Amino acid sequence: MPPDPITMPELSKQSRHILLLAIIGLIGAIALPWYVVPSGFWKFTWIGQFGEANASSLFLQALLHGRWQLLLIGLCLLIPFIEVFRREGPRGSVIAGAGGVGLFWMFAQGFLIGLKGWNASWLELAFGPISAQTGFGVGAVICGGALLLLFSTGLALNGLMRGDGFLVGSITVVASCIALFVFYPVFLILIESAVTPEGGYSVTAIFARVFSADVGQVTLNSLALGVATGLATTLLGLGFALLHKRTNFRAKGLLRLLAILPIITPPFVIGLGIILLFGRNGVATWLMSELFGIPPSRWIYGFFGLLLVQTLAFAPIAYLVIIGVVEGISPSMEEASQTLRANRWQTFANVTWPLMRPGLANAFLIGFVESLADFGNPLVLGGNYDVLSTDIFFAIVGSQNDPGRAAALSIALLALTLSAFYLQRRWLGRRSYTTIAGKGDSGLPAKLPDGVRRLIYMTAVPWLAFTVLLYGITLIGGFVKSLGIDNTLTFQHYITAFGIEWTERGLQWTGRAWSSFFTTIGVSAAAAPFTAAIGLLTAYLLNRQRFIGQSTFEFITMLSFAIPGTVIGVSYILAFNVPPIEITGTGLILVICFIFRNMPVSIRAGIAAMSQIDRSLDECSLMLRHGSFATIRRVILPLLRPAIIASLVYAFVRAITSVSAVIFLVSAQYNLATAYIVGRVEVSDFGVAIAYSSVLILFMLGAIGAIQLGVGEQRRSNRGIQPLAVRGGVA
Amino acid sequence: MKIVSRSAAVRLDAVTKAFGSTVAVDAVTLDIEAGTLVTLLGPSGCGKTTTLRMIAGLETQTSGHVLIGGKDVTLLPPNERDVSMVFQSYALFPHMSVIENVSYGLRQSQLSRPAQRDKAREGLKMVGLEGYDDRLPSELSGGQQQRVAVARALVLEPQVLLFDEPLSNLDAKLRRRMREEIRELQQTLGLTSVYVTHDQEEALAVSDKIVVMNKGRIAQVGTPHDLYERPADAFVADFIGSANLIPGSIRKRNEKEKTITIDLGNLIVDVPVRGYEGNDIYLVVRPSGVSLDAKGSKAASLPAKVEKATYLGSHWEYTISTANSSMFVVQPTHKIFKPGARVFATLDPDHITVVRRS
Repeated sequence: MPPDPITMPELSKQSRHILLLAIIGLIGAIALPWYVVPSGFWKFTWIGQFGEANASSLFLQALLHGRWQLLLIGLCLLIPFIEVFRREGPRGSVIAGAGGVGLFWMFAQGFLIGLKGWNASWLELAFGPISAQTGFGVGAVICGGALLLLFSTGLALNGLMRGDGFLVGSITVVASCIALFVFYPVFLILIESAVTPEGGYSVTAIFARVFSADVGQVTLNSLALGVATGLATTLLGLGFALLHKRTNFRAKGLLRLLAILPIITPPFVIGLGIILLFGRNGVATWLMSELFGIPPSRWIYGFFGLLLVQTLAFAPIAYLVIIGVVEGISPSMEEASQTLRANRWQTFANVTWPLMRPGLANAFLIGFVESLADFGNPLVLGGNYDVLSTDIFFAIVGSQNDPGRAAALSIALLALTLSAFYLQRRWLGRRSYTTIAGKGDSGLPAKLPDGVRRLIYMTAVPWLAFTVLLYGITLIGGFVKSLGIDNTLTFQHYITAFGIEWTERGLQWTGRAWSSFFTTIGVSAAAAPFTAAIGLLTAYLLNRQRFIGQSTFEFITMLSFAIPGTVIGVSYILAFNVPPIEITGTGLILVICFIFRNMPVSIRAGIAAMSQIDRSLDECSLMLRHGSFATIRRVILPLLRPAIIASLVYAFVRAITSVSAVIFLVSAQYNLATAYIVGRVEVSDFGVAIAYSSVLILFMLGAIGAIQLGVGEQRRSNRGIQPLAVRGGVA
Repeated sequence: MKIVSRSAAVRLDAVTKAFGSTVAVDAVTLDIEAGTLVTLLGPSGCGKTTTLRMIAGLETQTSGHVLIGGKDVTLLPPNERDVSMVFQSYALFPHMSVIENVSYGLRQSQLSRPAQRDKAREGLKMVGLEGYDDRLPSELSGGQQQRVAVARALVLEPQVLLFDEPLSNLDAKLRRRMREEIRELQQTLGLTSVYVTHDQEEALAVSDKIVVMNKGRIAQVGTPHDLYERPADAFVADFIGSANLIPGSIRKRNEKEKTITIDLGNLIVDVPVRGYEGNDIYLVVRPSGVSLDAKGSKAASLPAKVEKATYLGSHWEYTISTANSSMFVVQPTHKIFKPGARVFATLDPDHITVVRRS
């Protein structure tokens, strides 16, 4: 039968998908500005100037403004558009090839041709001069996204992941995002530290910088502080955990509050509280000089002050880690020990303690890493004791302005945290200490030996009291003129920061903090859903799917845990200050920074929650004709609701309290609460700083409380849904 | 809205699954006729569940082909193969009511919403769960959950229905009832079913054909009767209906009477010929194929000693030892012996068969 030339071949589902992607990409290439619009995309002034050099789409740039190199990208979008209508259906390799080549060329030309034309002189010699170009704009982002998805759809068409386009797409999108926003910037740090004074690059420059005496001293300082803090937080955390789980301690609610506090406290607040107590004009300093005649000094600024503050700040995290371990020790182990003629002390020493050891190692490493990454407290309390995180900051923003030194310090910091991360994986990966196997068993945990119990009461309880006192004094600090110097009661700080006036022009936000407050909330609220979405999607891929390169994928996502915020901040400045991706000074860079800073926690939460959902539910949904996307939507997501909410809350709260990464990225237009507070502290305007911090803490407490109430209501109305999976063994 | 069957035959063609270097399923070739229930039976780790999951599409085979209704589905994902499965854990969605669970698979069909409901109700009616529409799975008993899982698979009218140890989470009494119901549904609707179990009694009760698997390979395929009466090897003989395997050798083949004479060392028996090559064999003696007496009455009886005696209400179980082997024997309640008693074991030649000893 001769083919009918008029009728189009009927398109399969995948072909329609490819067609849609190609059309979206082409719209981006035809109708949207390829480069960043200087006045901002959302003001839409570019529509009036469309066709001019800085407001033209890809094709117009290529045809009218001599940027011929862009045509290849457009061609790569056209090929799939045509290929779809092939009578035998589109070929996967053609689609994937077009997407891959287009994307590769888009970035290659972006890196090769910059603000002043060719980025390398030999290219200019070879090809002659070329039109300069600025960073990617909306049109480029849409084309890039379309090319990436065409690439993955092509791979799926060729049978990768059994042709499941959604899965292949998810993997490529997540992997590309992590590569672009985590590894590319960090990689640039290495490059930056290799810059020689003459402007060339050499490996010896890296070594010369990283192993210089000055960097070495700072690294040693950080290491000493990290180890001391790790030990102190682990011991205190253990004390709290045993106090909570193994004694009749009454105020367990207080312990739970203590566990939430560090999450919602901006990191330098404890440092502030310590200054209010032990600084030269501190309450405790005054008391000591009055009662014992000890002259006020600056002893708190330095190693001991930092150790004290970081222990206060991070012991609750250790407590949260260790409490999980203490709960994981099956009481029947201890009961077995007791029936085998061991007394309380022998049981504790020979059974309980060894079983807790991996948890303690974990807590120590977390304390160590937190101490290294901490930025706010060293900034406030460091004095002459230099540590890596703050030195990086001063190398960039201070009078030094030495990116090479900042890069070298970042490498030292990264090396320390990565080693800790490596040790943690090595040590915990090797042995299993899980004692609860199969059926949940009942039984009573053994009583602690008397000596241990007394020790815990004697350390943990005073420490608890101290923490409460600290938060109390901080809260009070916001309501007096200048605590320790002029203790008259005043609301002046709150009025300065959060004043509102009612004028004839309506409500006026006269307080100086409002602008940064609103920006903070807006940026954090914008980042939270993306953080949760990418994190949970990654968790789904890691927990539920098997694919080639999965262990590498898992390793790199988990590795982003170990990158300290300061390093991320520096690397973002290096990476995103120049074309092709030029987003410093925008709100977007803050949102992106938050997303990739907080994503690892979301991944962990997602994996933990998904491990609770029996795999046979997914398989069953697949058998019942649902694809992987429909399965996620109808089965996984509804069952994951608590984890989703927890991730959202956490991402939101962490974004509000984060300092280290974003302090490099804020601008006059997009200032954040924490950066504003740090600025106040630096000029010793403690009153406003404290008032602002208190408002933030109360705001977050309120937000968490409201969400928890909402979730609680939901739970009750759902008549106690629990997965009733009876885990079946596979024969 | 009637539920009908669109049964199709299944063919596995040299299907192999390897996990790293361990081969879970080794070149299994198997034909399953339309409308029959075939059981994959074997000890844990024999590859039966992996085989089932490859038919479902949940596991990708390392090599080989799967054909359903003559169509090669080897590369299709589970949701595009026309099969459904009843899971060992039932896998009911805990956040959906019974009716939502049953109509879940229909949501991807062309049916209208009311038609989906009707069909789901019809499915629930078939398993005897009318009026349970709005219950949550957590509010059902184990047996009811099982029925919902079956109804959910049935309403899709699949070409093949798969069961992965569906009864292993039920108590003994319910198990017996559910297996009868499943068999009845399967026969009424004429469904092609593949059923995985490690329980030989269950397999004998429900199957048209049983595929006994061992170490990733098929040991024997046959009707329940075939497998019990004519096991292909010692493994099948032992796995189906447990057997006492007594080593012996063939002394004489009596062509005229179609029997062989077997030398057990201290006893000579004649059994119907099965055409074995070689002379080294196991005598397969079923526990019920032996009768114990205080006195040796016939020639073909072995002197033995009672080692253990267990009273089970309906019968006695004895472990006896003879000169060169020990046997597990079932006796009616009136045959009472004390441990240590001297007895004579008489073998019933009609209940004895012979397998190769290698």
